[in-house]
Amino acid sequence: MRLEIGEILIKDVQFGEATKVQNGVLYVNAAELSTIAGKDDRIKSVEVFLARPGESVRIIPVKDVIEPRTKVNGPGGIFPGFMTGVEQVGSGRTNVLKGAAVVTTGKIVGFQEGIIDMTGTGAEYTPFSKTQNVVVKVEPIDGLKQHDHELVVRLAGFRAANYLGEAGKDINPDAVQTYETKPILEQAAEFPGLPKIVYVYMLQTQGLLHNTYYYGVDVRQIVPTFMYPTEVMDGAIVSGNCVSACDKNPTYIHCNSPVIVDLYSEHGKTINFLGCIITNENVTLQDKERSSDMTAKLVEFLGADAVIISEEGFGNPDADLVMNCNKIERKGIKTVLITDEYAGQDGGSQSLADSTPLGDAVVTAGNANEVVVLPPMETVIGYPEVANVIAGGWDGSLRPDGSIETEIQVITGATNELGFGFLTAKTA
Amino acid sequence: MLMIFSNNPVVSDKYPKLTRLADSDVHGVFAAVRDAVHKGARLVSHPLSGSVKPNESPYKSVAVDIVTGEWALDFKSLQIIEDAITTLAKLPRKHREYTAQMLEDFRVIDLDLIESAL
Repeated sequence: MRLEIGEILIKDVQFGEATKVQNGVLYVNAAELSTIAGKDDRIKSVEVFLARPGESVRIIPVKDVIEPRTKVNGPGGIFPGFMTGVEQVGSGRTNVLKGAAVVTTGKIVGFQEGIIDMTGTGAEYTPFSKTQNVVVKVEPIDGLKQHDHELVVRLAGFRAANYLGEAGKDINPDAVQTYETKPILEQAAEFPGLPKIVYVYMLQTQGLLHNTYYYGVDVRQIVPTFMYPTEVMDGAIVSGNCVSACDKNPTYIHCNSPVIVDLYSEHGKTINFLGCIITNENVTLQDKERSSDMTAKLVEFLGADAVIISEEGFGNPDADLVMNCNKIERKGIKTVLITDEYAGQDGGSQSLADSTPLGDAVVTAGNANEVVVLPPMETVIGYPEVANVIAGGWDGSLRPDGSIETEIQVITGATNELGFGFLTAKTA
Repeated sequence: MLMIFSNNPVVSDKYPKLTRLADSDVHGVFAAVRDAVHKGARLVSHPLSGSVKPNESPYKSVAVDIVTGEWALDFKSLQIIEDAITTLAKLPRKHREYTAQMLEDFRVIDLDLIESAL
């Protein structure tokens, strides 16, 4: 499966009479965007705001971040199972408004997560302080229950992103990246001297506000399966996961998974990247045993020499991570784990809720309990009062001057477990 | 026999025959689960389900299988519940005033998480 990604570099976003891309500027017809995003009987209103890098703007609470993309040629459409049919995606040409993002905000439940600051301390922790953001604030009809509310906001975001993505359909991209994975026997034979690597892509799947979808299917209900890595770049995986801002994978990050992009960059040089196994993180121990057994079986069947395993979330998924690691290692296949930590505010506590001596190669994306003070912003888009009840905050987090003292887990993408963030450690 | 240890009244209202309602905080629910595991129960759901941290949601439900017959300690269940208790202890207790709506939201999410295990 071969996919070309046409990158149209977006340097600025402005409101305009027509939605279009011109000279690296994304012009947005706010009324049209609002109408399209709001095309749902369960939505009362949609407001559109712009937030650019460096501006004194805070977006809170953030539900999802989505990159505008469009299919130029090849089968299927962006976000299959939701916005289009369920035709297989991941081949042909997809154009991307690189540098632009749709950010959805809405109060689905009373306690909330997700801050994006466009300047100051918070901006150093979220990758979405560097994108030209089109913020879509979705107000549902009165009395809409939590499950429907989450769905409504999620779909509004996808409609908004696909509408903007269409503006890139006929634009000549600034750069074109090509990614290709061949059927397994062909792929294994292509680079016979290089170690064969499989990526085990764990997805959050526990229930309301903790769900992830593959071609529209709730991943909680699947058994682990093989995925061509390029499928994810056309939105085959989307996030319905909006409780823990720092260590979830927004839809934008799925589409731009740095694990997949980096594995491709070494493909044919130092490794032979065979593809991805997607698996879930369900609540029951029986599901965990079944999924980790099947994941290990698939890894072995594909003939991998080593795997990368990424986790999504806190607590319960640590058990899935450890099971995947143990069962794959016991087949004589090496693992490298990617996670983040809840090591307490002083960083001195046990980082995960489970561990294994076989997990001897681990990459951390940072300690989500680290405390920071976010300075006040001139403009707040969304609902500023939720800072006191946001995950990682406490009563008094929101100070009278508008600054927020909080753990970095409130910041969207701060310790993202695909490594799509700024936290790092370097030796001198 | 399936049993839910819970301090969530929505769970006990919906599953009255299955639920052992703990009139306590999350620490109390975890302690009750640990005691049941010592008596031979096996965990069905992971006690740290959900990304809502256990020091943030006031509600928690954990499903266990009460095993009848000869007593045997399930070490895996014991390790998981002990690790969950350790995790809860390391997270700072946060003083927060929740509105009635927020409490309802926490109850609904906890119900959804436990129902995904039933």
